[in-house]
Order: sequence, then C-alpha cells, then structure tokens
Amino acid sequence: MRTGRGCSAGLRCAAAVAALLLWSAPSAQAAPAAAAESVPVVVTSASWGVVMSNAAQGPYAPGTSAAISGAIYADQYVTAANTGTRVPGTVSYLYSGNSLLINAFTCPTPWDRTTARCAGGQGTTVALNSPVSGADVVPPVGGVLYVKINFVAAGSGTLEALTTKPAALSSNA
Amino acid sequence: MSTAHSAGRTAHALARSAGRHGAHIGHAAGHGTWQIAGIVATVAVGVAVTSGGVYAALTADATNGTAQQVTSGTLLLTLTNTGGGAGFTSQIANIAPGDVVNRYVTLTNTGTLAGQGVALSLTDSTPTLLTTSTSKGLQVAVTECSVAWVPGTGSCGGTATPVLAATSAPSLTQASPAALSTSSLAPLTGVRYYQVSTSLPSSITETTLNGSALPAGTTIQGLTANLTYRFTETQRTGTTANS
Repeated sequence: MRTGRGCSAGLRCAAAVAALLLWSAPSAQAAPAAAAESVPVVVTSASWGVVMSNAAQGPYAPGTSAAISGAIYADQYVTAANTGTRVPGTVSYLYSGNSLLINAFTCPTPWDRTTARCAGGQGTTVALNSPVSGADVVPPVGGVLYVKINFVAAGSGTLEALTTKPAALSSNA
Repeated sequence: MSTAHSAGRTAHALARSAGRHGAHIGHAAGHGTWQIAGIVATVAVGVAVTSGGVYAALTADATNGTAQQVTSGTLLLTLTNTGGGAGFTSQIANIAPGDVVNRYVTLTNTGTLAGQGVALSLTDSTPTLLTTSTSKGLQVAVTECSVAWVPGTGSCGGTATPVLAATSAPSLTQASPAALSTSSLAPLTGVRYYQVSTSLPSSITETTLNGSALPAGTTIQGLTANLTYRFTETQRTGTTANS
C-alpha cells in the first residue's frame, strides 16, 4: 500500500529503477577478463647532432657554428663535436662565405699546428656541403674530430654541421 | 498474526460486554450469558488459531540426496620472460628512427577456463611524442612462435606468425586494445610465445643543425617514455552442457 502510493505519487520509483538498471547494465554485459602487465619499461629516444666550434676543448654548446677566415694557403683549426647520444647517419659540413675554394681535413687527434699534420698522416679529406659518413669524418658519441681548413683562396665565413638520423639498428634481448 | 490478535480482542470484548449485560439481568440469566460468551470466545480463538492454515495447500518436496558441487572457473594470465631473456625487464635506450627492439615474453593462461580474444594495450606514465604521435611515435608489433623464441638471436625454431602488425602507440590504449590474431588460449596449459617489437618509424627524417634539435614538442629526440605492456584475454564463449 505504501509502495503503491509512493510510485503513483511521484517519480522517485521510476528514478530508482532507472538508476538500478544503469548500475547493473555494464556488469551484466561484460565478460570476465584477465590481464597480465609488464613492469614499466623505460624507453628513451636518441639524439643526434654535431657542433662546430672554434674552441679546442668543450663544453660545446648546441647552436653554435665556427667562424673561419684566412689568407691564401693559410690553415685554420676548428673542432667538430658530437653532442648527441648516437652517431649520426651522415654529417654535412656546410661552409658559407666568400672564399672561392677551401679544403677540409679531419683528424682524430689534435693537429700539429707546427707541421700542419695529423698524427701519422695527412688526415682525412672531407667534402664540404655534402653528406659524409664513416668514423673518419663523423665524430664519435661524446667525442670530437679535429678539423683543418686550408684556404686555397682567401676568404672568410662560417662552418656549420647538419646531421641526419642514425643508421637503424635491430636488437634482441 | 494480526488476524489472530484481532479475533482475540473481539472475544475479549464480547466477554466483557456479556459480563456487563449479565449484571443487569441477574445472576441466573448471567450464568447462561457467560456460557454463550465462552462459546463465542472459544470459537473466535479457534478461528484465529486456524485461519492461517485455511488457505494452505498440500506440498511435497524432493531433493538430491547428495549436494551438487558447483565450482566457478578461473581466468588468469601470467607474463614471463622467454628462455632466459630479459623480456620487459630490459630498458630500451637511445632508440632512433628505424630501430627495432625485440623483447621475448611468454603468455600463459593459468586459469581453469579457456581464454579468447588476446589483446595488447600500452600505457605511458609520462606521455610525450613517443606515445602521443601516430606519425612519429613508437610502434609495436607482435610475432608469435609455435615454440619458445631464442632471445639472444631472435630466432624461432618453429613457425613464426605475425599476430599484430606495427601499430602506433596511440592506437594501443587500454580503452581500445589491439586484438592479436591469436586463437584461444587453452586452460592451464595455454601458452603463447611472443616477440614484441618496439620501433620508431623509419619515415622520420629529422635533421639537426649545429646540434640543435627541433623545438620541444616537435622533435622525437631525447624523449623518455615509461611503458607498461598489458595483455588481456576474455573468457571463452559460454557453453550449454547436457548430462
């Protein structure tokens, strides 16, 4: 009697029934499921970059370039430092300036500025303004290559480094 | 109960009424009245006592002699490293575009019910482009081997079957996990050997000038994700048994 009077008098019963249906509907449709999770796996992405600098020693700040200038047949020494966490796929040493012709050479150790020689040899010739790759011309991670600029024609300008993504690797563990 | 109580009150009222009436008509007449009142009261009490059973029908029961035991099944998944490999306990460091890092895990249904609809989802507690970008973000692929993988070499001595093509991390949410094209997992012994390949798209062509990467939020370099790989299965389809 009390229930009947309440339901006919108001919307409370309808609301209660609707709430009950809403509450029970998802659980009635969901099938039992099981799950297995891994422990959190830390994934870090690599970075790749080379900085040209007039400084013989670091730190080498990203965003800098090397200013170069010289008379005919003069040599200038700069440094190419790898500031990334991987070896870039390629590096393009970009010269912009007014010299009609300069040559570049890399050396894994500091140049002997007296003789203009790399320890044990002439160093490795580097093509400017085009991608190059290989340990002789791309500095290792956390390391540097020492670069000698030889001005065949006098001039000045800047030397920058443009790097591309590292070579892809595949690993199993 | 209320009926009996009411009947009792009625009998008591009749008795009191009869008593008052008898006081007016004298002792002899009051003696007969008391008898009538007693009869009425007795009948009323009898009605009250028996009224509960007036409408009851005859019933009969039959029960199983021995209680039938009913047990519900269980649905359990366990994830372990395959063949002494590091599995997901091994971090992934310095991943670059085009890199593929394989981890080898074994998924076992340790429950008593068969499972079906194995699916994989990924969550990152520190979201970055690695897990929010469909074009630059991480991708996950899964290949199943019919026997245990050899983690060190990544070789499958049986039949290797891709069960999930490379799928970007944003498409592997818990709300919509990616279904693995894996058949049902048998109870207790259902085992799947998975090679989980995590990669960055080789299509990324990001260059760096003078050591400066692209601005934050646009570069894929130097980011960190904390990934949780989650495998799920649902209960096998319900069955109807006759015996």
